[in-house]
Amino acid sequence: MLSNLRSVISVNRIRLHFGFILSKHMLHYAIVAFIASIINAYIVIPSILEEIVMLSVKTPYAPVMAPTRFIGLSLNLAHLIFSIVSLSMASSMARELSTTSLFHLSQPIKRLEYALSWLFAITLLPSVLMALSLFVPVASFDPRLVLRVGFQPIYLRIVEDFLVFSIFCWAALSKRQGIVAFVGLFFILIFPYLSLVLFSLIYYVLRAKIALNFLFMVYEVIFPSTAYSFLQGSGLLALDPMKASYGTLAISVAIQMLYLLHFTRRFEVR
Amino acid sequence: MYYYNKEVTQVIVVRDLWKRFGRIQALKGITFEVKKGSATALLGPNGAGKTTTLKILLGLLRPDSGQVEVFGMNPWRREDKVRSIIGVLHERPIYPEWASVRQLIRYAAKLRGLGEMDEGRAIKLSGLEDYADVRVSSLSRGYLQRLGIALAILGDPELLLLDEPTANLDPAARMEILRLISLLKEELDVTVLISSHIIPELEMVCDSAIFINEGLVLDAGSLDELARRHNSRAMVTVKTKNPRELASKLVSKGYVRSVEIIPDGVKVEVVPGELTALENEISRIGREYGIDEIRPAIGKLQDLYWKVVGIAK
Repeated sequence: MLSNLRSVISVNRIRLHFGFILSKHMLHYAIVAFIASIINAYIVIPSILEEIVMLSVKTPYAPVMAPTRFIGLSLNLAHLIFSIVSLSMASSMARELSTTSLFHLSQPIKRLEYALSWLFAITLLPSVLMALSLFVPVASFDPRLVLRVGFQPIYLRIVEDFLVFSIFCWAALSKRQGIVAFVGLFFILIFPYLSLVLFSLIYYVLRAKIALNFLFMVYEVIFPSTAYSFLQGSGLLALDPMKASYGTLAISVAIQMLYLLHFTRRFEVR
Repeated sequence: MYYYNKEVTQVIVVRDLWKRFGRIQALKGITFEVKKGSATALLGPNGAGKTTTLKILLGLLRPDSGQVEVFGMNPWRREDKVRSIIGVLHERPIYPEWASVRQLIRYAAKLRGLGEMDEGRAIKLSGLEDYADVRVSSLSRGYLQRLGIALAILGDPELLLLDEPTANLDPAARMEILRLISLLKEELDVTVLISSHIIPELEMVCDSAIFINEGLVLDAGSLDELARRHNSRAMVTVKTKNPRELASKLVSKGYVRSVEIIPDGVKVEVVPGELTALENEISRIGREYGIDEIRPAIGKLQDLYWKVVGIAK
């Protein structure tokens, strides 16, 4: 199976083009990742230490609740920073498709390999950098603390961003940086929050709880992390967040496959 | 061991090729072939379909219908294989401006599985040694064209596709690029397909031509065949050690219109349709007059272009 895959794509050519994409932005991203790590270190490490201290306190009363808000704040910051990273990558792709793709695709590289290297740059790289910016500062402070970081919120955030970043790949196919910027802002800042407001309006105007349940279910699948952080404890969560994330992953993979299929079958350099 | 048929006689085979962009029908069933080792001019006015044809041959555009083969391979399906044996220079190429000349050439060389030696050779052949570490954004139009040439000749390609190779260049740079193309053709036995408007330049390097207009191939073949077919003013250059004697011998022939003595030979203008008679005479007296070579001369392609494209208009 591996040899079949090798006959379809060349890992070396993907690596070369991916390296070429990164060589332009490497310094900027290293700085962004470093700043994100520092911010996360200042937020996450004291939060974990506080949790350890609070859990060790023995009282005759109800157990002390461990604070998790700081990890949420840290995650949201990382999400914002690396969404911008992904967005700038998608913008670079749009610019390249409208300008220098003639140079790149005149070389012996398949359209599939070219599209895959951009897919990695837009979705995988920012997701990996986001996870690293959360774990590396904690691990460098004390590796044992890594186990105390809440994995579920981080996993949900990465899965949600993976889906949004996949949509950026499609936006880049428009070859217009303006469209990429609009799609980016819409999916990062507007859609996740505006839809919550709309759902509330629907509920109060129509009083249709069944329809609302369905809408929340869809919302949780598209934005598992945002839904978890906003609706946790409200009784409005229609699905278990982990189960919703399987749907998110499935949609992300479907979007990416369609993007690759479109690029391989339809993309032309005019 | 090659993954393509290196022994093909026709490097490019195009049959009934159609391509549409929205409401514009760019190609309307064109058919032509390019012989191995030839230098073919793809001639036609703006919007004739030359660049579309070259892009289809590279696998950058998908044909709507028809058959396209480059070394026996379909360029859309086996794009990487086809591009690994083609060197291409586009009409208005845009390169990543942030990169240096060396970075770009190294990247392209690595994609072709080539090493630093090939990279250095391409830089040297295209005259970019002094600009290797300069950013692409700082290069003049002429040096950008040289960069295109360097990228095109990386790893000694089997086929060179050149789209307006001398466009926007000053006369000196034009001559240099044309010399380089001739050198590549002669030294490396590369098949060349050149699309251009500048006919006198094409005449310096091409031995066959494809005339294309409004998405249709009007005629194609070797320059001699075309000259015969269109009763064109046939001019040939004969290289000889005894130009004066040969000139006096040829001038008396009824099918010779004029003879001009040039350094190392004579330039002969033949009555339309009588080129074969001259060729027969040359082959008969060849040894006696020390004749080295007979080749089509400047003036022929221009004449043909107006006959073929002019009639179509």
